[in-house]
Amino acid sequence: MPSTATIISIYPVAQYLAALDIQKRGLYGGGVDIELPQKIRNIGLSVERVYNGNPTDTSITATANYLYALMGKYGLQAMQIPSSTGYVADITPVRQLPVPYDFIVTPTSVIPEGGSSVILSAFIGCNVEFTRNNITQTTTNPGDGGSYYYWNSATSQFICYPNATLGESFRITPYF
Amino acid sequence: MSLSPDFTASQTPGLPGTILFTDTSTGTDVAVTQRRVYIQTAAGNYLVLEGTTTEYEAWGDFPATTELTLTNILDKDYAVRVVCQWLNVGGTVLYDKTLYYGFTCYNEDFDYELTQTVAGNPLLISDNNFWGNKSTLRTYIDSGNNAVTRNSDTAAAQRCYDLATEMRANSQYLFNINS
Repeated sequence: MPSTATIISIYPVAQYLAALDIQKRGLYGGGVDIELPQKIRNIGLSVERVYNGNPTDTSITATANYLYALMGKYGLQAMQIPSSTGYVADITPVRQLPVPYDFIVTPTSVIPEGGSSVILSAFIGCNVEFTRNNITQTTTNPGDGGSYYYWNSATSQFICYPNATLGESFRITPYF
Repeated sequence: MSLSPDFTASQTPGLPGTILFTDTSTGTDVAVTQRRVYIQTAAGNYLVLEGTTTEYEAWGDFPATTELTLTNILDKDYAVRVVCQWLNVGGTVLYDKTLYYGFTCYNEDFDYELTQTVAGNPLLISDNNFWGNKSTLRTYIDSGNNAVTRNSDTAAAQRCYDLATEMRANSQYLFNINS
């Protein structure tokens, strides 16, 4: 026989298991007492109250056992639920990569003609690969006046050197 | 640091006439030296111990004494408005707090007696006379509790508790405990 504490912890579960079963059985609860859920709650509440008042009071064992008998198979089912369900693991959201910027420099493009700096807030936290006129760029200044770029993943500031000129092909690709 | 006044009231199964108050205030205020507890029924009367001439029960020795037991202050179940005041030595109220309670130990104890009866004679659960009335008793208690906790409606709650009390007082006609 389960302990009084166990019986008190499972009676609300047995109550809804009984209610569900009666509902599924259709007409007249398929022979199951249609008032059984109410009876389980009624008896359960009064036993629970006395138990909470003094958990060491052994005089409630008899009434707790009666409650267990009243629950019947629903009590057995209820006891199985905590041991068979485990827990639902946290779901780690899959982070989607933002769509790359791929454009020809115009007076109105992301980096306009003559411009060099832009804030790409959609790329915060990402690294970026910059391709200029189909040539992959580096972040290192070659020192000979050649092109390179600057990227700050925290502020999402992107700067290309030298300034963009009309008709250039730019592709800024984020990656983790 | 000022005082954040708070308190709770509770009953113990088997002692239906007794209420235990616990001061759960936090913080300090050296000016506070005493408390008063007003227990007002839905009819507007104040419940006090026999021999008390005021409308309140005194609860002294703040903050050393955190509990106040009022033994046999209830003669049946009541829905009440409880006002606790924290006062200085001159009797000026510095803080107060109001809470609503349903003290249902009389009818709850009786309900448990019925549970014990049915545990001893399981066939009673199928007796419409017994089960139907036990169910009604539970409904009155629950409804009264809902009225107090959800809406602080002591009038409606008291009506429910009184109906339950009436069933308890006439139990010999309502609960066929010999079947």
